[in-house]
Amino acid sequence: MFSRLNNDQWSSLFWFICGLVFCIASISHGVGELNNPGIGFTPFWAGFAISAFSVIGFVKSALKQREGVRWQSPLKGVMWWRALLTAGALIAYAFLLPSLGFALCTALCVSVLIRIGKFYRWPVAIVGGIVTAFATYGLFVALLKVQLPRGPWGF
Amino acid sequence: MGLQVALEPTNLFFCLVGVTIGTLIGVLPGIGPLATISILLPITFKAPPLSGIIMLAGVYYGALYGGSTTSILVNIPGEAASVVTCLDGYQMARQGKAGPALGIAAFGSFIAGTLGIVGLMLAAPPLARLALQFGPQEYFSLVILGLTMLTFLARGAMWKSLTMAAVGIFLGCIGVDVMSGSERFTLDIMEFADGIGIAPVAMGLFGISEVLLNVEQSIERSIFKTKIKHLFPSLRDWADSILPILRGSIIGFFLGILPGGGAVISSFISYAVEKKISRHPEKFGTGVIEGVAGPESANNSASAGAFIPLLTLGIPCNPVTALLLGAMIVFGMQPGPLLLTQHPDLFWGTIASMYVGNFMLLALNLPLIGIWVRILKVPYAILFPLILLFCLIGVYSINNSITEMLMMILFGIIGYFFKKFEYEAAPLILALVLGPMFDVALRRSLLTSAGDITTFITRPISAVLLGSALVILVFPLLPWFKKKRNEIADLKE
Repeated sequence: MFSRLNNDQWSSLFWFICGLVFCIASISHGVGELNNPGIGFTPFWAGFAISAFSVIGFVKSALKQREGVRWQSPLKGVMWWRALLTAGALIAYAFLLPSLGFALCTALCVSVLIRIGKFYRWPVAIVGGIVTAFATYGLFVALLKVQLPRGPWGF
Repeated sequence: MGLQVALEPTNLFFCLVGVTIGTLIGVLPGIGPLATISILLPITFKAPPLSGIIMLAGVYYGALYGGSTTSILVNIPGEAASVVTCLDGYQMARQGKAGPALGIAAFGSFIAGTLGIVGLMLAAPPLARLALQFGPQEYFSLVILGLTMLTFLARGAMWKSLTMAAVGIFLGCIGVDVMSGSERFTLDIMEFADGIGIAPVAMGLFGISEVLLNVEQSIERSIFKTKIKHLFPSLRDWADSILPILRGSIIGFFLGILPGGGAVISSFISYAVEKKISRHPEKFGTGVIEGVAGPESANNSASAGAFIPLLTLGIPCNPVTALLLGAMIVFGMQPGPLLLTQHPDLFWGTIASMYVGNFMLLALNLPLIGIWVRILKVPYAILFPLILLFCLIGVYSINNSITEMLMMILFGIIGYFFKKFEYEAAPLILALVLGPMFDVALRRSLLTSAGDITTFITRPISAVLLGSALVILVFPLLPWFKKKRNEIADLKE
């Protein structure tokens, strides 16, 4: 089903729907009138513009489809799972930071990221994570006095 | 007054830190000045305002110096504005002329940066006086022109860039409306009351997304192994380079002023000009020094020119100056025509620090080239966790908010898909920063004119600005229109 539309057609469809949603949300805030624009005035017209530009984009990409431009998977030929794991590690970091504290969370996260990056063995990655956690704790907390969450052990 | 302020020990220190970090990230591919300024932004909040701005500005023009090193030695541009330098710079390195290439890049950048700052000193005050006549209509039209220009010059389809700009305008409307005090689209999230923060969005779209894209590839960097000697160009090198340097300086300066212009486009146009007027255009791409001197001068001169609309009108003309504007507002500095009269120390101190910074960069780049080359050898697998960590710490340190950290990661994922589907994030960031100003200017204009939309074209300055934006929008259609017209004419025959 994906192959019926090319990449630009799919993305312009997405933005068309986004634009519509923005317009509807803006109406609920009150668009007002030209001589007394409401708080929804600018966002409404921004949403309208998004939908309008995406229609132009859809038409242009439909013309390109006639010339043979087809759907190409953006994940083809790349190690997309590395990006997925990296994003997952970052999200986990954000959720665990308040409870585990900066130092432990950083050591864990950096270990995982080093392992994702180059498949160093786990002992190497863990050592790298611990060293990074110590160094950044010293730089940001001790030296720059940045307020970072402390874990159950006080760091 | 400016030099007096810039030479204060605190400001000198921050200038040195800024240009050093700027050179470092200019050398390293995978992270640019935009992401770096985003990451450093929260840290500068703890410094005096002028010192913070001096440091961030130093990162901006320092990156342009450092980008040439990677272009010449590794054939990978360390910074987008150094893409063109790869063409002839790397070829010069292959011919054993890495030293003169690096040397002329550094000296050309210094000369161009200095000339650009002189131009800034001369042009800024009269422009500030003109800007005092600006009303909401003029600001609205100027934002339209800036966004249109940026979308015109962006890579890829213009409709995509315009879409991004409109998305940025919408995102800029999130938060408490300054005119009515009502909340818009905050989704009851406390952090959105003050609007979507520029730092999490910028760090996500430019920092996180870039890393996500890079980890998918296995980038092996092979540094060209050559002894780097004779960093000081010979008389022959100077004879060949001095005119390209001067031309590049002028091209870069004027393109840097234009909203949407900047270092990247300046370097490309300078290269094209040098090739066009050269007596041996066929040699470009094989290692001619003019192909390095011109573009490297242009990109540094553009960085100085970019400060003119920022400081005098309060309008950023590219994403980096958009971030600097955001930083200035957080610091309590209101860039614009009144900055010169009300805070001349801030105005002239910023300009003078750029001059001092250029001297520092010349001193840093040449003797420390060996160190920059060693840094290039650090595996990306070690670098990218550090980049991500600095992004996470940086965004958390602004408001101690996990929500903003998650927002940065979300925008990182969004930016990743933007790049996959060939959407540029730069128009979005520029529009996000300008969005609140755009909204207020538009609504005030309509309120004061009782809904008369011709107010934007009856005021002369506004009319000129809007007319220019229209020309830029229509211009790309012309060749298509001409082609269609010819096809119709052929059919009739």
